[in-house]
Amino acid sequence: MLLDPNARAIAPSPPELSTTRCGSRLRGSKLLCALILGLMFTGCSEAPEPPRLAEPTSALRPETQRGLVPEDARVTDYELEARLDEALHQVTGSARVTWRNRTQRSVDTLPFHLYMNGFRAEDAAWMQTSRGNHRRSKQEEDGAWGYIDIHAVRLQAAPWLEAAPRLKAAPRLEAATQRDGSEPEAPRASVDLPWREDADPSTMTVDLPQTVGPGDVITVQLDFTVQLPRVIARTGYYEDFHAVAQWYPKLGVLEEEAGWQAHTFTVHDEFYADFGNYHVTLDVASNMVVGATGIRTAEELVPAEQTEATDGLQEGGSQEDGTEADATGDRKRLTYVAEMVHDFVWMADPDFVEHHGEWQGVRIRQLIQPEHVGDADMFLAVTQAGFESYHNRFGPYPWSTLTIVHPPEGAEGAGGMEYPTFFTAGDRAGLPEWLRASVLDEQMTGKFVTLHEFGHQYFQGLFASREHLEPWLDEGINTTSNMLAIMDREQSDDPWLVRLLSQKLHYSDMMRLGIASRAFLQPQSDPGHAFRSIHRNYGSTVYMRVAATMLTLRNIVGHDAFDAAMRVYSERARFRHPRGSDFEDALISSLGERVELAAGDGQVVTFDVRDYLDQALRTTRQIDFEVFSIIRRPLGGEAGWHRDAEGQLTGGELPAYLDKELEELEDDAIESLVSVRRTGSFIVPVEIRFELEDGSQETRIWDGRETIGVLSFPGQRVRRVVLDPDNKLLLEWDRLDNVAFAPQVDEPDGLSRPVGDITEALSLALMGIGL
Amino acid sequence: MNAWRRVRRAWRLVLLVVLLQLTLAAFFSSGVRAAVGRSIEPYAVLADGHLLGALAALHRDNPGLVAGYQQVMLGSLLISALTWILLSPIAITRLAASPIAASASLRHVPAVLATSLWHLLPRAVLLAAFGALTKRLMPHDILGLAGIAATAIALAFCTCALDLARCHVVLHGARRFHPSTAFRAFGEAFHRPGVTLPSVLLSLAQWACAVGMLAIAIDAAGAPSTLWLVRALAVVGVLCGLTRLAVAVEAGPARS
Repeated sequence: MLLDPNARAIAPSPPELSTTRCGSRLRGSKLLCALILGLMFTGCSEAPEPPRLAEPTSALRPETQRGLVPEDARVTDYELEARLDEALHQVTGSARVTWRNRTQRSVDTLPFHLYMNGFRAEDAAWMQTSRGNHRRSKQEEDGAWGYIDIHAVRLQAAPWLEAAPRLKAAPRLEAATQRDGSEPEAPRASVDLPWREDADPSTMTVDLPQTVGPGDVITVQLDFTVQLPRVIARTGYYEDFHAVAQWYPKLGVLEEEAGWQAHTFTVHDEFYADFGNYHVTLDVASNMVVGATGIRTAEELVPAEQTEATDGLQEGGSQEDGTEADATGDRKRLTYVAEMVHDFVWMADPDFVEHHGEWQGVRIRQLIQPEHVGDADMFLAVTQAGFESYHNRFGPYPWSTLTIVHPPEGAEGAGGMEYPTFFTAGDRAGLPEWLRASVLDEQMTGKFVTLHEFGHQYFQGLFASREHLEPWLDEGINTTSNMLAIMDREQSDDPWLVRLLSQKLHYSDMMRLGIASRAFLQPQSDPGHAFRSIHRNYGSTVYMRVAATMLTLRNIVGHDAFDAAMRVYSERARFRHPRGSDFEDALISSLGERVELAAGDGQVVTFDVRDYLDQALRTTRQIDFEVFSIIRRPLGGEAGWHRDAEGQLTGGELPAYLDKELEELEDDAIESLVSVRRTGSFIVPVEIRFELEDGSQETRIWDGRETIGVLSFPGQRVRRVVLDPDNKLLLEWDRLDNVAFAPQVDEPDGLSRPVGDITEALSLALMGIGL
Repeated sequence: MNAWRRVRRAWRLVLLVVLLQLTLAAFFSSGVRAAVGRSIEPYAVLADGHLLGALAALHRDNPGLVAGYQQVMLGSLLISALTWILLSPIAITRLAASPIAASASLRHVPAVLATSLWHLLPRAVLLAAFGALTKRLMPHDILGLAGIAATAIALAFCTCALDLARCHVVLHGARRFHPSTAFRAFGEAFHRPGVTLPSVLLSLAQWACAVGMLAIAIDAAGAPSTLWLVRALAVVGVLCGLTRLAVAVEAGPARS
């Protein structure tokens, strides 16, 4: 069993100690103290420590549980070595990259991402596009810059390496990295390769002496040093906490049609890489508790006397920058293995407390800050619910482990980020449990964020789309899947997000509020770099609007049909690099180009799925409808002068309505006309519910193709009209004009009374306490 | 004469306070009702559990409505302060069945105001010390039920001390503007549990009524009988407040 010896067991809750002190310090006020003690003892029960689970022995689950992993999906393997200097917040290491050319192209260069260089200087593209701000974190004076410095690039294996004499540089022999305590491999021939940073330092290009053809395999080794910035944009250090993410030179992706893909790192461009196996050795201070992608396969303690100089350590173990280091100077070497993943992250903090759980044999390991240990069970329960829902909806989780890291206070910029078999969570809002149980509760912090990051294990982790080019396919479809998982967990089609007493703010409300102001500035299918941070519309467009689009589609075509279509996409996308067009094709092939929508009275309206996706994804059109008017008027009859068979004008009687008020007319003498208006430019059918004075109701579908539609009800008095009564069109962010009463009906509007009552109660409460 | 009997005898005072509060609250809220109604006109919302979402959307579209709420809150706080300062000398003389005319009792207003201001100092010190102690004893539970309850008790204790100080100024000729009048009342409250305990309980009941009013209004959200329930609780709150003041009147002069 491999357990980190430094990981602390969950500490007993402190109130027990506190109550002992209470008795001695408050003797003067017995009543007060008795009350406090009585209330405090009620919260002193200690939760039992959960069992600690052994490290899995295989990085992937058994094939019977995970399903097939396509062999051709494995493209790039990494052997990484890294040593963390906790004082300087530096990582020195090497990356041995083995790449298989799975395409029919031949290439003579290798592009590498150097993501850490995005934080290197003010004129780096990431800094230019973010101005040093990202979500909740911003560039700090200490640790302002981060970078990766490549020292050497060597070719170690290639089909033509034996023909080295023809190469400019003579091959040299060097010992291969020894690993796992096995015998050293035979010395390898290697050739120094020329390389250069690109115009933006977040990528570099390595020139190969010869082309790598289809099916060829080559291996290169890169030596590098990484300077971590203070935590910003998911990476960096904060005091003793180190989030080492996007830290090694990462090879681009060779695509059959487009060639090498290695995008410049900007504020909204996340990560894209091929699947492969990772073998990683980390050298850290022995007091560090480490979480990483994959499973740990070995751990070796290296006493101080066997380590290199303990640079930066002062007496007592504190470092030059004031953070605490392992006072002993001891180190440890940890070995990790990850299979069929496209990234490797690790994080270390001496304060982490471990919390373990599992789902169907998948080990769930949380590394949480001591003050938040009480929330660990909640995070575990949400993650387990995520596993259950995603397994049923999107197929089996292939890996044997999942690590959840909770960054400390001050390092929030590292929270809420996903990596394969690993994610960082955000802490739950500090509402006390009694308040959550009785008055005010929310499911956004903690629960939703956890589910969102878990969802990325599938949407990008397993379905490795090109997030920089199609962020909607990653963040947006993931947000959609999060909503579905929450619906599964809560057994509700519209679960609540915030609850104030019995009043609830639902997810549909949140989505509408989220997309109301900034989500329609540009198409949701735009690439990441097209979103400018000054507009602050990335989240509302790429997350919320996409989710609203997909859930609206689900409501229109039917839940079962949409869920089946998502399964089709999931099966096609596993361990692949799916495109947006693949997603759309899966939907259309499963749903059909057109879907017949039926209203209750046999009315059928054709819904064009492709047209819907075109409008939603590639335009800025908005869905908006309003009840324009509800008119009751006399039904036209036959009173007046008419010609008879002889051509003579006869009759001349007066219409029945002339001497009667409208309300005095019989039902068969009147008609109701309802005008509904499409105020948005997005054309989509909408259901309309008409409630009649006799208590009956009728639902029709209006195709919405015209700007205004008139629906007539001869012989009926329409009392109320409700557009989209079942709340299907989540993309319609303004619903305040969707319900209207006929002018003849005197009914409350549903808002002014409750608001007035609350205001009056507030006024009475404020005046009352003045007495 | 016990405190409750004093309140019953002063029924005109009770009626005055109740009517004043109910009328002003209805007046304040009527403006908000009208503003909200005009903002959503000619539409309506469904009673389908999306009230918070509809309210958020309404205020997104009509940010000016927030000014209406601010007016109500400021107006109510102003009335609250005026009640505290102007009404308390009258209330104390009425509850004491003093022959002093209401208009004459108004001469105590400056002294009551001064006592209230002096009172803020020990109240702040006491609450700060208490807060520090609570935080030390319950570092993870400062917002827990225990912390909230203990803080409420501490605040109620301060209110009891102020009641005693005000009564001493109005009824017993205590030094009108001197800080010692306010400060000594704390010691008196500490040493007279027979006065402090009922006063604290009545304060807690009064605040519970205030919280209950808000909770009911939010929870029931416009249901037909909600407002009358809220108003009934307001009356109970007024009775609790006046009985609490009567407890201080009943306590008599300070014991040396």
